[in-house]
Amino acid sequence: MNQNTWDKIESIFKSAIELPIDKREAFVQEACAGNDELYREIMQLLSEDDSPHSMLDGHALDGIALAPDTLAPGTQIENYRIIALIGTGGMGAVYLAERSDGEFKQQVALKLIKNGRNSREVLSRFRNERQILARLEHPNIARLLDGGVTTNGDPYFTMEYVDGEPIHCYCDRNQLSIEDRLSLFIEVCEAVRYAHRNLVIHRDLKPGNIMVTGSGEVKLLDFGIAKFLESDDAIMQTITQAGLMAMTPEYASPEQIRGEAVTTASDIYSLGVILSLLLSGNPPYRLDSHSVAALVDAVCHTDPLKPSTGLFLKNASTKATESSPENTARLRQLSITRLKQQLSGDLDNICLKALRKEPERRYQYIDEFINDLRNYLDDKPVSASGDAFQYRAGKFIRRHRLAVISSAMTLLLLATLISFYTIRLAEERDRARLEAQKASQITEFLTSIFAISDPNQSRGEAVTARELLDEGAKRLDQELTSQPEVKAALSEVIGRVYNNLGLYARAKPLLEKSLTLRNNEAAADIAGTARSMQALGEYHHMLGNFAQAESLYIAAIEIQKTLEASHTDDYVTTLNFLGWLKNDLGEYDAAETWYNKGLAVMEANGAPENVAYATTINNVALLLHEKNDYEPAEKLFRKGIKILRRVVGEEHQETSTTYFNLGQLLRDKGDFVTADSMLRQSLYIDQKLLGDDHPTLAYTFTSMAQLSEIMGRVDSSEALHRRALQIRRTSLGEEHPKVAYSLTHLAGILGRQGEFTEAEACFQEAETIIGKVYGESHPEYVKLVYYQGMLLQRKGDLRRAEELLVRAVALRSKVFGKSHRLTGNALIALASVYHDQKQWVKSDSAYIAAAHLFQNLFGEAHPAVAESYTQRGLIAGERDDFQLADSLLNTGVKLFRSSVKENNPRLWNGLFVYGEFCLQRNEFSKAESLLQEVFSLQKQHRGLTDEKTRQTAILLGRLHEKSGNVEKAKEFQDLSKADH
Amino acid sequence: MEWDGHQKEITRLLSEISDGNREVVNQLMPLIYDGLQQIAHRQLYGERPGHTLNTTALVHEAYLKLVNQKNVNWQNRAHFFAIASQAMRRILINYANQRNAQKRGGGAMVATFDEAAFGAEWRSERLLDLDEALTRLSSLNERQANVVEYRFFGGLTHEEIAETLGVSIPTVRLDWRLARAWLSKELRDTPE
Repeated sequence: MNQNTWDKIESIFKSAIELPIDKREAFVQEACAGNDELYREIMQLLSEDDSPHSMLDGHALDGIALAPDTLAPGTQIENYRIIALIGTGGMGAVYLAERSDGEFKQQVALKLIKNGRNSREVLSRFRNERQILARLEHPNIARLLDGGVTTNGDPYFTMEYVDGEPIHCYCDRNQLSIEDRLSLFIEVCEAVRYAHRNLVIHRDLKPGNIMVTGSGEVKLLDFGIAKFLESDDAIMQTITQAGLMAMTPEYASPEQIRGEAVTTASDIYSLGVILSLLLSGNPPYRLDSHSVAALVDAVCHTDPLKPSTGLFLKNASTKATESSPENTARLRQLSITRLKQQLSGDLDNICLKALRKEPERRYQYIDEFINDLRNYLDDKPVSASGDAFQYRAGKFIRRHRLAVISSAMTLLLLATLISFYTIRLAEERDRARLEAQKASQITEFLTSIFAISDPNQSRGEAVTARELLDEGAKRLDQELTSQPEVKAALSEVIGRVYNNLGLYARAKPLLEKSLTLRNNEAAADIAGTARSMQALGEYHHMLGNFAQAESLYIAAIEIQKTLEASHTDDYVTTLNFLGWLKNDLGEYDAAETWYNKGLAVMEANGAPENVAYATTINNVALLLHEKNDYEPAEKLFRKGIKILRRVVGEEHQETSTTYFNLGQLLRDKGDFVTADSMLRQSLYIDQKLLGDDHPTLAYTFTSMAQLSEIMGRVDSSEALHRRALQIRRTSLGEEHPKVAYSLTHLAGILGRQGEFTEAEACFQEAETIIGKVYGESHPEYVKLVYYQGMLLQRKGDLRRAEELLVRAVALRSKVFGKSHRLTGNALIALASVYHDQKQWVKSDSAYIAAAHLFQNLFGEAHPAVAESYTQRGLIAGERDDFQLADSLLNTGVKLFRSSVKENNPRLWNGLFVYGEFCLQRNEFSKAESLLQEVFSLQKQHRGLTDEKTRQTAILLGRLHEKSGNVEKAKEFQDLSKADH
Repeated sequence: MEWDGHQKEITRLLSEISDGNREVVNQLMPLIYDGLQQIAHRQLYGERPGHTLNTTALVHEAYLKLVNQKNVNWQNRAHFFAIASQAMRRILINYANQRNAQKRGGGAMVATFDEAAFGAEWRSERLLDLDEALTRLSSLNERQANVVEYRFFGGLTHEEIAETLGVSIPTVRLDWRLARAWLSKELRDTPE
């Protein structure tokens, strides 16, 4: 078979399998155009495609299953008789066995090692270690009894047999409170401490090795066993023990994962993981997949989660129902709010200290760990929480709550503490309301100063206000240490303002500080905690860290849904942001669900006719816009405008925003004239409210520029983009991401005019800004890669264009997922470059993939689907597959007609290339009707002098020339030369 | 530890590969081949009874063992998997050849294999047929042959393959279906 035939087979086969089964044969017959051999070959391939294949449907190594050989009951191993199999693990099997040499009847657990290692070596190690292990006599450590080698040469060990269940199961089954769990856990730690003093490290602590018997006694299994089974690749054993995906080394420390030295600190780390699990019901990681890479990354590189956050986690590894926060709280006999409160602060800090990545930064000795746990239970300061004076003072007051009232000495002490600790003291003594009021006054006062710097309120004078803000942030860092609530609130506010200014690097520490402060507060202001979570979530959201943003939003929502009606606005805000996030991720259904939840909350509270309600409606409409549901989107925007006009009037920011959004929608819908007037109305309001140089105006100018571009007014588009850029530079500073957006747009329009040098310079500047602000894996950075790829294509540098677009596709797949709209856009751009490179197969498959993607998202009637068909038609034509080409081009035109309005240039292009194709095939009447249609449309919307109109006229002239209609030919030739 | 030297070298080479240096691939291949072979050998010769062998697990194990994860990015990782798939193909083909030779020569079977391994016995010849068919496919379309190699011998997911080849997942899926159908036909044509 030659290359050519194969390419043909490929193209027909791939198209055929996209069709329903009953349509395939007819299609193949048509596509093969009488080539019987080809037809038979393809039909055979299609039938193979439908039938299973024993080898190819698996992997090279599958099914080479080696017999699991377990021992039958009654089997004798030296002095032991097997009674029953208890379990199998990676290293071998564990049996219940009985000592049968008559001395005394003792039931033991017998562990048979089947790992193919050198059994003599294992045994000799065992004999060395045994002396030490035999010394471990502790009521909570199962004793190691004996060891030997079977007649097959497999080493085995016997241990005290423990009839119990893993510690976390025991705790949950008995619904132990946090305090009871901690007491039990301290027993575990005591046993480990005993072993550490005897210089034995466990190395494999996990719930499965920590059993609790029916009488509530803790027993640690397998102490020291791991050591003499270990060879150069300890972790490999763990990972491959039960097949890679079945079991994960969730409890191993980073140094163990990396194969570095194992110390007592490694046991402390494992205990930290177990403690997190016992407290919050989840391990301290978020695992989005079961892959080893994800786990290694989580253990070695990602910061561990606090139990109070982990509580709300949904891990891939845990079943959703079991790990719901509700259930976790119920099993600890608490409400979610109470559980979160109890975990926040000391317990969080204790776990985090045990879970530090660097062994030397964990608890140095297990005694310290135990002390902290005991101190927590006794309400004494814990070392993990640091030793700030106020912290200790707070502990003191709480501990001596009763004494405060009775003892004069204590009162005296308290008097000296007041200056350090007003707020906390007030709480303790029930004067909270008064002090809280004071605090909120401070908050409001400072907030009002700082808010000036928010571009939404500063009327464009953000740059000078920035200095004020920076000063505030600096002072905040040094002052107010004695008033954590106020400090937390201010950090949140300033953080939010920095977010809005696009100064994310400055926002981060403040928002994190605010959340930490609020988390540490004993009598936590939960509403504030939730706000901090939302704000930090917003920060991550803006930076494209979607997973982190999502978990923060959800954590905030979990809190806010339990709060009273006065916090409804906060709640709705978070719901809106979560919806927005889902929208960004292309998860439209989920987005809609969250928005609707927000609407429902507001409706339940009675007053749907307010700004928040209109904002949410606006968001839903934006979502529908993105989904190309133009009609319902338009209805909602108009409804929003109606409400806003009633509630806040015509000349208001919100009203203007909704006009703007409606304008964008109408633009995409093809209603250019109304779109233009909506944008102008928005501009008019904004100019009146904000003056001529406010950054908000830049949005409107940008949108108008895009509209101009679609309408073929390239000059005015360029001018509008330059205007937007200039506004953003002066109002937001040179390094704001929005400056980069304007540069990007400008580069695009310059590229269209062939001004590549300036375009590339714009891109470069934009890239520097975005790289600095967001980093190189942010969606906005990827967008630049994508745009630059398209620019290079236009410039004719196809090699670099391909490189960039391949990168854009891969990055977007990673960031947004493989079936996201934006991934699809990049794919189409790449397909087009392949097309230019005449890489037909690659181009064709890229278009197929893109068509698929868009079809799944939006249905067939979408311009991108239409575009894919049209382009594939051109490819088929290039490859001389004319029948296929005709049917694809035809479908393309059909889909354009159902997805865009007749004034849309994309439809014209679809018609034009189909007409051109028909002309080449000498199908004159078909070509004429297509080209005539384009010509009329172009003439109507662009006029006769437009370049595209002229091109169509030339083609029509050629058509009539070819078909012998001299008169008409002349007519179009004249038209094509019409005045420039 | 014997791996350390290897690990350093492999990790270093992987980070250089990003520049598309073919020379580097040639240097990496024997290193990855060696590492993979030791792991595969242990599995193939039944040193871990009681488990179903798993291609994906094996290649990932090799990755964890041979590469210092701190120093590689995802592109490097993709390259590693691609090379490992090719190494895996060679290892298994050698293995199958060896077993075939033993069979023809009437020599002793590998002693540690028990009945359960007969499936593998039957497979080893089919594996050789597949190898030949795959070589033919690569002369028709190299990318499609690569897809088969990565998936069947390397246990890579479509997503990983797409990442490695720099194409979309649907492309991989379509390539796979075509290649699978064709190989399936080819293997049917050769008598079993």
